[in-house]
Amino acid sequence: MGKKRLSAEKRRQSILKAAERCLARKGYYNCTTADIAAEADITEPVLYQHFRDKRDLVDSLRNSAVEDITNYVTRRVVKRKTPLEGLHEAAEAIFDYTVRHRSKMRAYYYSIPELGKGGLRRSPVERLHRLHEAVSFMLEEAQRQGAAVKEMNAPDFAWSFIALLEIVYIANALGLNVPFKQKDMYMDLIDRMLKTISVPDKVEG
Amino acid sequence: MAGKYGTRGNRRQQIIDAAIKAFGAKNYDGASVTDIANAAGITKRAIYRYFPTKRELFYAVRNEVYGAIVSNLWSEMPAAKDFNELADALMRNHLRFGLENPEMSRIVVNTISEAATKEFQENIEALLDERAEEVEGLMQTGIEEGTLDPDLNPAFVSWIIVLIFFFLIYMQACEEDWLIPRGEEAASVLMRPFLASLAPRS
Repeated sequence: MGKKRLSAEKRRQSILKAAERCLARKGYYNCTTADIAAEADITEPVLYQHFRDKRDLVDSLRNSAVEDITNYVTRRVVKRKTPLEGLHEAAEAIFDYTVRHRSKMRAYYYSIPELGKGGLRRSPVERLHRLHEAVSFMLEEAQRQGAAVKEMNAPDFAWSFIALLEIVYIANALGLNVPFKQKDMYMDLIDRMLKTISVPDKVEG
Repeated sequence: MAGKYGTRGNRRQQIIDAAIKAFGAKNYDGASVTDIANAAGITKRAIYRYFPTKRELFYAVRNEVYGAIVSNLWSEMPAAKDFNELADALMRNHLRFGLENPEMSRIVVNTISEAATKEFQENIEALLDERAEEVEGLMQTGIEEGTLDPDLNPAFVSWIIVLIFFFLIYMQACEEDWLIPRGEEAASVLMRPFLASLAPRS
């Protein structure tokens, strides 16, 4: 049984896929490069031709997951006309993507806990900061357009809103089914939060 | 000096305490059993007498940390019955404890990395379930008293609140510029818009 020779890029992708499955099943610490190599049906030395070590591999996995979900969410958000509709859409898109890619997003979240010196390593923190920037910007834009109340502190409200977005990843990482079977209830909570800052539509006399 | 005269229970606890510090500082991967032995002032062999593997020691540490976080939750509760005040107090208790014990928060973030494994499900899920039930009880009262929208599904929302507990720990592990300088007040700021959104629709 001759093993198929894959191009370098294809081989790399197949290793990443294998790592995704392995991490999702065994957790970060229990999943070794030997496990990943076995899952990808290659030897460890071949794995090391593509990735320096487990951390390098997992970093690639995380970066590609973040890139994919960011692109997906952005594509959906730009279709919406107003910033508040955009925030609703962002929440729904994150939810949908996670439901469709549960093991990928689990592998993503599992790779986060590798802590750096002070706290988490830089890339998850940067992702959170970029998300906060984007949400704050949309909230401020809604205020400028008169769709959101002036009294709202946009950066503070943004963190509160982000808590609701992030728990989707956390629930998935915890292996829970709770929010995933109740999309309506989840989106209702999102809409309720947005409603607390919306300027009510003027009733035309 | 506890040392070699320590009772069996004390010695075990002493190892767990040292392991919390070590895992909190260096993660599961980074902290060796030697580090832990040195911190506890005992030999590696003594550790293996209580915990046959590093992994089992980690599980014991995890159970200890989750237990400590949970027992702290209800530590200082206001006499009020209002759901918003109670939920706010829970979050503040939770965040204060995390800020005072950052090594424990880091261990929780560490454990999320294997939370979908069978081992975690078997040992931790019941504990989370109980927390959700406690919050659900508070919500029922809130609904009866008219501070919460009766249209809400308390079982669902209480799980969301348990997940927000995790988010706070995660955010804290990020050593978020926004969160750390505010101290426990950050919990209130984070919860306020969410709690406001649960009020009955006018």
